[in-house]
Amino acid sequence: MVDLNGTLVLQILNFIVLVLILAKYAYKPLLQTMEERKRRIENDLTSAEQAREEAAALKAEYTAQLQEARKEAQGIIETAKEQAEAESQAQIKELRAQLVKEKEIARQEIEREREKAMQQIRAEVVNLSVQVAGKLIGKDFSSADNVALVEDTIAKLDSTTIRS
Amino acid sequence: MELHAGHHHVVQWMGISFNMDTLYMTWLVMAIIIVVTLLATRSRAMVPQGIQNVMEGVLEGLTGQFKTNLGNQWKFLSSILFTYFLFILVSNELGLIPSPHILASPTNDINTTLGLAISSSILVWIVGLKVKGIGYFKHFVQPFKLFIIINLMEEIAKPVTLAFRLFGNILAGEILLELLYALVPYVLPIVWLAFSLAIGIIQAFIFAMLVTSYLGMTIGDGH
Repeated sequence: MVDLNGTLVLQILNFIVLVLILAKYAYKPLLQTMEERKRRIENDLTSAEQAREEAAALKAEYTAQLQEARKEAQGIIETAKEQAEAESQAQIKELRAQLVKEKEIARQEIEREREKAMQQIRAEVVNLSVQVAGKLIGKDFSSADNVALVEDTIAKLDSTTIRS
Repeated sequence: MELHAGHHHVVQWMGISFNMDTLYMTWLVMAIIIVVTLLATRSRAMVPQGIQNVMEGVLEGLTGQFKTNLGNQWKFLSSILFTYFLFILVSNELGLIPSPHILASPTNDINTTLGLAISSSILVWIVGLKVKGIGYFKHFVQPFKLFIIINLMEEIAKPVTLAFRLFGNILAGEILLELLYALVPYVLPIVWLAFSLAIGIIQAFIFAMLVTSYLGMTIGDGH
């Protein structure tokens, strides 16, 4: 049962042959595949981490840009508001000035019209007065001398009393 | 009754005897391992499936167990240690397949186990020479010259214990299995068969593990 013989040497040789065959055709390619897979997973993980960091940086950048844009927009709105305010103030001022001017023109117009009316009334009064006086006295009172007399009388009247 | 386990068909060739059944079984084991590993490496997919997955799992597991002891020599030694494990594993389990006295474990022959053990000793010397040069053999006379006796005994005891541990476990398992079949043909042999399957795995692992630790002692400063 425990006899040592030539089998021992053959078994050693068998083992060496098996090691050589397996090392070349089995372990080497298999371990290579495993190593390659390990490397690939490591690479994938590294690149994923890189992508994550890049994304975070981009996000931060975008947020900053957005903030900036918002601030700028606010500024623009503010400026526009101020400008509109100033413009409207100027317009109001101009309008007011225009109104004052027009009021002055109207006042002058009214004054002129009244003056004109007063003159007409005055002429009419003179005529009427001469006619009335003529009728009352019964004599021709409409000569040029009489008209001048009446006009003179009226002119002597307090002009302010008539105007008011 | 006559036991079959442990009896060998001996052939004489040029005055040297050979256990032919052991050799046939060894070649069968080699063929099985080569076929299985080649199947595993055939596709070499990035996402492993089936037999490739199993093979990668085994190699990965062994790597995890053995690599730490061997440092930078691992690349050179890994193929040999993987083969120790796979060869002994398949050899141990081959004898457990029920067959009319055809299949037997090559490891139930002391020639096989001692052959493996001696090759491991030679491997240890080669690695010792590779790592430490000719100075490696100085450890036989350390701490002083008289220790050469103890050191030589240790050097011999290592392969002998490796060989007999494996041989004894497997041969005893097969003998007991045969006896149980003869005495209690039902249930009990199945239980022992299951137990032997586990023993086959454990013995293969122990052998490879011990060779690794001997190598580790040589590479490191174990002496």
